[in-house]
Amino acid sequence: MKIGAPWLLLLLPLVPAAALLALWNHRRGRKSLILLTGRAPGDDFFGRHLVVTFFSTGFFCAFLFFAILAAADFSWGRKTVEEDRSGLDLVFLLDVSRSMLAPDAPPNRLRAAVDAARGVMQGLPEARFGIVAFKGRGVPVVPVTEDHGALESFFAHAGSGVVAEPGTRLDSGLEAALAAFPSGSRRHRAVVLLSDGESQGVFTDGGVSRYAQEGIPVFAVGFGGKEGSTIRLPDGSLIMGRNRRPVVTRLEEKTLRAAAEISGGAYLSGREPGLAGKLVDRIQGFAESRGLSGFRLVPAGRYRGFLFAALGSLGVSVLVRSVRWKRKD
Amino acid sequence: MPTFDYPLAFLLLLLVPPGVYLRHFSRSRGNLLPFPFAVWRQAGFTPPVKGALLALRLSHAAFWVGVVSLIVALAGPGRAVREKIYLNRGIDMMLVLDESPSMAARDFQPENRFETAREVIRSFVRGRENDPIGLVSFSLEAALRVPPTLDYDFLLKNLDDLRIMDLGDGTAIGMGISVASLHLRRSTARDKVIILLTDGQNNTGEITPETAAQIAGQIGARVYAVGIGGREEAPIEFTDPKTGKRYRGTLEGGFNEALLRGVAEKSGGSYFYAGNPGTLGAIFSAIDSLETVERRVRIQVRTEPLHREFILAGIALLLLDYVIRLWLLREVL
Repeated sequence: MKIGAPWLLLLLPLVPAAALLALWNHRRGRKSLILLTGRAPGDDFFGRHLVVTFFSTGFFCAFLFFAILAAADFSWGRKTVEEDRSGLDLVFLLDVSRSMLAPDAPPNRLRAAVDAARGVMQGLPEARFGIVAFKGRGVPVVPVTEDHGALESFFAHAGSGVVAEPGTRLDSGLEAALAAFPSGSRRHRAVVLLSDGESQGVFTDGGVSRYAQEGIPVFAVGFGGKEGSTIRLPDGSLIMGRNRRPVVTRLEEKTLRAAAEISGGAYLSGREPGLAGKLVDRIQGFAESRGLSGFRLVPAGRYRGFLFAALGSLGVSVLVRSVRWKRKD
Repeated sequence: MPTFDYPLAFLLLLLVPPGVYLRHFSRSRGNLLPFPFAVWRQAGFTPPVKGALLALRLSHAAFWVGVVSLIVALAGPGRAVREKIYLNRGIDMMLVLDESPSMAARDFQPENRFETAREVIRSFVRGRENDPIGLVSFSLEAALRVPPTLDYDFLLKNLDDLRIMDLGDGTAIGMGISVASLHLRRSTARDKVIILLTDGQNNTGEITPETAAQIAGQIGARVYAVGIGGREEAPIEFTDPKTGKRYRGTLEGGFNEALLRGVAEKSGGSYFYAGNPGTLGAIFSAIDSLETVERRVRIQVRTEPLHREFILAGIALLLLDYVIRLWLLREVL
């Protein structure tokens, strides 16, 4: 099960708030009714009024609950969508933040990532490739092209200085990578994310769900280890923290796995032997399966069921108040 | 263009009029408490508070608009986005632009040869479709700025970033053509084209223009050589990007017409002379019309779902109605 807009679940506290408002109003209204009708507080009328208020409010709260779930876009299962594509456009989304200089993936994470990218290029000679580098911002550095030499020129000099903005914004990188695919192309599209997963940006499932919608899988590769490593700059010095101790960086697999899973791609560890070959196999497998079948599977949205329940609850809530419960009062 | 996945859901709109009647107009509705406000045979009752009446009407409107919004969401609204998909390959092109100091000559108005060339290239690129276009610039050295790509925005941004004398002082025409050929060699396009724009004589570089033209011919690329600049002396003014020093003077001498003609002919291309900005524009129009391929296109329609927006609007409006009724108007029944 996946949620397209999980942040909308933050609206759920509105449900008890609506119930509390109704309770407060009922207490206040009961006094007014006693004055208006002139009936004794123990009269049946007030009992019925309580029941009507209870059910009407209950169903309104149910409406609110289901409507919020509908807006959050739950999906489970898959449905097929027709797709007529052949060939492959692949964008390398390369993390060039300073944490990628950590030497726990020898010689360092960034060089290991570049080697993996080179291996993928060799394994897919017919594909077109592009590179988006990200740090504090995602920046296209090589547009999608058949000219592998242009990518090689970039890889030869790839470093942390390619992007000026400090930080690590994976969300911005993913956005830039999506925009890097040329429009009007009938090729399959995929992203190879090469990172240690550390991100200061707000990584939301919603950002990656656009990849799922457009049928672009993210094949994420995590470099580094969970045990952590210091970061050594090209001049040999260590990056120090505010406490004057060396900064330690760790692989954050969770984010990378989420990006891969939501988009329909796969996650691989940067320490796997034969990494490039495995990546190539996965990418080829994805392109071939779609190319042969002529369709792709997308998450089946289930909002309609929730919305139907919401509208039904709202209807009952209105009926409970509008229909006369007894002929004579 | 709006689309709906399940238009049958609109049948639910038929329930709205009876709902409006039942909720607001039925005399036997449950939440109605008959109460005499007027004295018999006297004037009727007029609500004394206009604001409350306004709030009541606003609440009713919010409720029903919210309900309609939810029904529209149930119908699966979406925005159809048409995308042009090219079924065949375009022509691979490399623009090779001279950025030597002489390109700063002011005989091409409004500014100089370089800016005019850049403007003409911009307009040329915008007019192409589905043709991967790359950019090489040269002066003392040559460098690939953009590999052949369909990402024209990226190309134009890098074109804008070019500066005169970025690659030193000199005119390495052969190197410019060679770098372009190098980056076209893997191209699978049937047609490959190099468009060379220069105003000078080849005076540096390890590869002569003739050899470079042979290399281009070997990979199947035609070279269109465009010589630009007037034949008379021209004032020149530019800033060295490395030192920031500004240079002013008069430019003498032009380009080697025979050399450019030879380069073009050797590769199966053509030579053009642009003596003024208008001619340069016309030359690019001519190249544009010479280099055409039949384009096979399929229109693919993609739908962007909009149901979430309608659901959120519905929730907001129904909550507005709820709060007005219970909190502001203190609805009792």
